[in-house]
Amino acid sequence: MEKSGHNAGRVTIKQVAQAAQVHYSTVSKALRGRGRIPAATRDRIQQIAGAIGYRQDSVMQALAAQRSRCRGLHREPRIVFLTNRPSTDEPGSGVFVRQFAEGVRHQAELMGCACDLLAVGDEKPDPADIELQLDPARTDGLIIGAFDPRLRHLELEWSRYIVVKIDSAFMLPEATLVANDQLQIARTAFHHACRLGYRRIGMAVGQAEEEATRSRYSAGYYVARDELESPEIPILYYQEHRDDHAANARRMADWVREHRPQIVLSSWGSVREQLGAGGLQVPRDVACMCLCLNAPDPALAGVIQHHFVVGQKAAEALALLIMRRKRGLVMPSAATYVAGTWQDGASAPACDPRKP
Amino acid sequence: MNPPSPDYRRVTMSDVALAAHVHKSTVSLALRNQPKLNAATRERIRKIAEELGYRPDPMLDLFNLHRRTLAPPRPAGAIAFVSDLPNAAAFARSERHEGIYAAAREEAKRLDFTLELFLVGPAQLSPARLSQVLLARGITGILLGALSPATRSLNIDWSRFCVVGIESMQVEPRVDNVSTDYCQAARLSVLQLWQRGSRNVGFIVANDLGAEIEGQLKAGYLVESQAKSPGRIASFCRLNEEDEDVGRMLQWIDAEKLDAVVGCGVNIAGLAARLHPDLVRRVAWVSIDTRNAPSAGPRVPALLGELGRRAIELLVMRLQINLRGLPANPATTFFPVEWREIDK
Repeated sequence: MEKSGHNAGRVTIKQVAQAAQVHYSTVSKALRGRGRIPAATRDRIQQIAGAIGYRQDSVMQALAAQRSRCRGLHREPRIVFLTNRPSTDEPGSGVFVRQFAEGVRHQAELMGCACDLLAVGDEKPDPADIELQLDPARTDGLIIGAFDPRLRHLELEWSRYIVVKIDSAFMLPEATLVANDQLQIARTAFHHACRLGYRRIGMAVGQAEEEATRSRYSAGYYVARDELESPEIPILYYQEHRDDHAANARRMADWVREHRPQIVLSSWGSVREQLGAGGLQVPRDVACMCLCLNAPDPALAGVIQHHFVVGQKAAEALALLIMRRKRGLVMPSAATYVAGTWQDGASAPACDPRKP
Repeated sequence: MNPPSPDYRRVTMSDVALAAHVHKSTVSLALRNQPKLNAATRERIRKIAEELGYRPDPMLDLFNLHRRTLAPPRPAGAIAFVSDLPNAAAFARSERHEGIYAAAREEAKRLDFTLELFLVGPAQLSPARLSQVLLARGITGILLGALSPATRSLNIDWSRFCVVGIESMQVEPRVDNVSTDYCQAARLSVLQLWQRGSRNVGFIVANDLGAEIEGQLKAGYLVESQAKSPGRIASFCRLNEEDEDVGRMLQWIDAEKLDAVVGCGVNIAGLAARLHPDLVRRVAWVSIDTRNAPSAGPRVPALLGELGRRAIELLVMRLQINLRGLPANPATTFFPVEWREIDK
C-alpha cells in the first residue's frame, strides 16, 4: 500500500456504483464476472470502472478472503524468540533469558500474537537449519534474544523477517534494539554509593558483556565518576566463563588490594561470594553492589534489572514494525533502554566518609 | 504453535458478550480498558474474556486500519503537544521544536489524529489548568515536546492520561521518552575525529540542553576518549549561547591544547567565524546538530522527524489500549545519528 493512499482516496466499488447508478453488489458481480447479470450491464459497469480508475485492491481481497475463511483456519501473527543460551535455573546460565522470553510472550499474547521459543544451541548453529525451523512463511516477527557474544555472526536471510534484538548489540543485522539501561544502572549505583558515604568506588564488569553492549556500564561509570569528582580507579574487566570462576575471584581480590576501592560495583550476580572466595569479607573489608539483581535481596545492595519489561518492550517494538510492515533492515535502528531500580542491601551499609 | 484444528473457532466479542450478559459494545469498551465503564464491570468482563480464551485479532486491526485509509479522513481525536516555550512565536523560531512538531503532526494525521500545540508556563496555561482543559475536551494523549531543563515536574494527574515524552527525561516522575542518541552521537564524533588524526578532543554543550542530555553526551565522550587514550583527562565545557564568550573559549582551547572541538546545540559555524582564522584552521570543529542548522564543518544532525513520528506511533498504540498513567519502569528510545561531511 502506498503511503499516499490515505489522501489519494482509492476508487471503491461504491463510487463505481454511484457513477453507474446501480447497487454496489451489482458492481461486484460485474467486475468479478460472477452472479447473473445481463451482459450489457456487465460491460457498461466494467467500462465505467475502467474510466474512473477502479483497481482491485489485492490487500483488501486477501484480508477479506482470510476473514471469510477464518472461522476455521485463522492463523495468528507469530513471533519467534530466537536464542542460543540455555534458559535453565543453573547459576551462571541465562535465568534472564527466560525472563526476557516470558516478557515477550506476555506482551505478544496481549496483542493477539502467538509466540514460540527457538533455542539454537550454543555451538555454531547452521543457518539453513534455523531457517528451516523458523519457517519464514509462518514467522511474522523475529526477536534475537540475548545471544551469547561468542556467536558473532548468524547468516540468516534477514530481509525476510521483521527483527528486534534484545541485547546482542554486537551482532548483525543492525536492527531495533531493546535492552536494560546499563549506562543508567552503573550511574545510579555510583550515585547511591556516593550518597552512602563511599569515596573510592570501583567497578568490575564482564569483558564479553561490555563488548556486547558497547561498553555501556563503563560509560555510566565514567560519567558518574566525573559528575561526582571521585578518585580514579581502573575498571576491572573479568572473563565470564564459568570454569574461570576461581581465577576471576583471585583477580578481583588482587585488584581490590591494589586499588583499594571501598566498594565494588559488579555485574557479577555472585560478587559477594567471589570477594569472599578471594579472602575479602563483605562489608567489613570491602562493600559491594550488584548491577544486575533479578529481585530484591536484603543481603545484596544494587540495581534490579527488569528483564521481563525488556521482553515486553521488545514485543511492543516488534508490533510497531509489523504494523508498518517493515521487513528487513530498518534504518535508523533505534535502541530502547529500560531503567533499573535501586535497592538497598546489607552488602553496602552507610559508610563514614572519614574512614580511610 | 500447533496448526489450528479444523473445528477451531475464534472466540469473538459476541461470545464474551453472551457469557457476560452485556452488549458486545460494552465488551469492546471493557477490553479497551475504557474508563467510561466502571472498573468493576471492566474487570468482570475482562476476566470472562480471559476464561473464554478471547484474544484480540491483529489481522482484523490491520484490516480496519486499511479500511480507514479508504474512507475520507475522520479524526479519531486530538493529541496535545505540550511545550514550555514562552509563546507561539518563540516556538515557531525554534528549529528543534518546529522540526519535531511538524513530523509529529504529519504522523498523527496519517493515523487519523490531530495534533494541537499547548503552551504551559507563567504567562501561559498552568499545568493544572492544562489538565482541566484537556479533560474537558476529552483529550487523553499528551506529548511532552522537548521541555526546557527548568521544567522538572508538571502538576498533572497522570493516571488520567497517556503520555510520551520527547527529550524530556528531566521530568519527574519519569515518563517513557524518545530521544536523539546523544551518547552515540558523542562517541561517533570522537571516533571520527580520531580517525582524522585529532588527539585532544574537547566538548562543549549549549546551556539550554539539560543535565540529562549532558549526561548522555558526557558518557559517550568519556567512554570513547578513555578507550582511545586511557588516563587522559578529558575536557568538557558548558557554553551559554547568549553570552558566547569567545575569550573564554580561546583560553580553554589553549589551556587544554585541543586540536578538535565537538559542540552540541552550539552554533559552531557562528562561533568559528568569530575566532582567529589560524585557530579555526588548527582545530577541527564538529557539530552535533539539534536544530537542523547549516554548518561549515562536518556534523551529526539529529533526526528530529524520527523523534516526532515515533512519539506519535507509541502514543497512539497506547491510546488504543487506554494505557494511562506513568510506567513502573520508564524506558527511553534513542535514535542514532550519522556522520555527514560538509554540506555542499
